[in-house]
Amino acid sequence: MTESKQTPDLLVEKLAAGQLSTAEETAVRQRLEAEDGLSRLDDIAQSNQDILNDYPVRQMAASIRERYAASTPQKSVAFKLFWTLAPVSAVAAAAAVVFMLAPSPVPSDPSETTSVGSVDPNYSDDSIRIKSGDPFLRIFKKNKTDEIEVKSGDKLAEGDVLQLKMITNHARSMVVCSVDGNGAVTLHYPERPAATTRVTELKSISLPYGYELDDAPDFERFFIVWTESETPIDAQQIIEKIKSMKHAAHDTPELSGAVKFKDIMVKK
Amino acid sequence: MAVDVEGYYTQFGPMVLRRCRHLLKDEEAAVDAMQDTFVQLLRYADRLDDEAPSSLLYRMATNVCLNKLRSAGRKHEDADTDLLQKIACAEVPEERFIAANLMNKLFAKHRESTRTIAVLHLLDRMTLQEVADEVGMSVSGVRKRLRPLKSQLAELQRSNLE
Repeated sequence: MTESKQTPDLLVEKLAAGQLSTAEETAVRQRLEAEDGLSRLDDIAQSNQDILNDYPVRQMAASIRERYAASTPQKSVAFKLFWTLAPVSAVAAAAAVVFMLAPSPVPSDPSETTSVGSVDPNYSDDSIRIKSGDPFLRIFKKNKTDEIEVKSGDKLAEGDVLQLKMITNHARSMVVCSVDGNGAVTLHYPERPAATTRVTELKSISLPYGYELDDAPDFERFFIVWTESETPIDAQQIIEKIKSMKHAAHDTPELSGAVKFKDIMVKK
Repeated sequence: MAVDVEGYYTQFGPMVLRRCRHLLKDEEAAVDAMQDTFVQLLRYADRLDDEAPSSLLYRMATNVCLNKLRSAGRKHEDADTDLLQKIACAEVPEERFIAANLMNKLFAKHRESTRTIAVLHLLDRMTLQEVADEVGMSVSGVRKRLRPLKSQLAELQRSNLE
C-alpha cells in the first residue's frame, strides 16, 4: 500500500520546477523513463499554463496580498510573529526610565488616580502619574544593554526591537497601532480588536512585548488614539480608519470629534 | 527574506493548486487553500531560508488542506478521500499542543506535522526513505512518528467495518 509504484508527484513537481540537485534530477529522470512516465513533465508544463491562464498572476497576487493584509490586524498581536517577548526585568527597567523621564511627575498620591473601567491585565501598569496634558506615546529602541528613546523622523531598520509605552493622562479609552510602508496595520493596544480599550487615567502602560520591525519599506507610523469621553473607542474601527488612509505616511485619519490622536513616524 | 508574491505564484502557484485540487477534490476549496498557503508564506516570510520553496510549499499546502478537511468534516467520496479524512481527523497527541504553532515549527525546521508525514507516506505512496529525505528525518524517526497514527487508523478502519 505504501511502496512507491510510480515516482511520487512531489519529486516530479520538484523536477519540473528545477528544484532538484543534478544527481537527484538524473535519478528522477531515470526513474520516470523506466516507468514510461516522462510525459508527466509535459502534463505539468501544460497544467502550469492552464492554471496561470485561468488564475492570472496579477489577480491572484492581489487577492493573496488582500487576504494577508486582512489577517494582519487580528493576528498581529495574538500571534506575536513580529514580536519578541521582552523579559519582565527589561520592562521593569524601562518603567524606571519612563518614570525618570516623564514630564511633570506629581507625588504618588493614590487619591489622584481615578479608575474608570477594567484595564487589560496583560499590560503592565507602571503607576506613573502626570498632572496635565494630552496622552502620549513613547517609543524606545532596545539595544543590548539599554534603551534609546525614538523620536519622529529617526531612522530605524528591519530587526530593530521597539518598546512602546503609553502615558494615559486623562484618556479614558485608548488604542495604539501602527501602519507600515506596505499599508499593513498592526494593533499594539489593546491586545485584540475586540478587547476593551478602557484605560485608567494618569498611568503609564508598558506593552509586555518588544515590537520587531519587519522588512516593510520606507516607514512605520505609530498612532496613539484616545478619547476622554465616557464612550470607549472601538479598536477595530480605528484600524479601519488607519487602513483607509490613502497616503499612510502623512494623511490624517478621519476620527470623530471626541477622538484625538498623535503620531510618531520613524523612517526605514 | 522578502517574498515576491508574483514571482512565487508564477513559479509555484500551479503546483500548489494541483496539490490542493488533489487533496480537496473541489475547485473552489482548492483555490481558497492555495491562496491560504501563500498567505502563510507571507506571514512567515522572515523565517524563509534557502530551502527549496517547492518542497516547503507542497508540505504547507498539504497542511492547509488537512486543516480544511478537518474543520469541514467532509463525507468520504472514495478510498483515498476516506483515508485522507481519517488522517485529517486523527488525534495526534503531540499535535494537540503544537497545532497553534505548527507553521511556526514547520518553518523553524522543528517537527514536521505527523499528519503531513502520514499523507506523504500513506496517500502519496512515498516510501519511508523518500518521506524521511523530504522532511529531514531518519527513517526510524518517520516510522516512530507514524506508529500511533497508523494504529489509530487501523482502529477506525475496524470500527467502520463493524
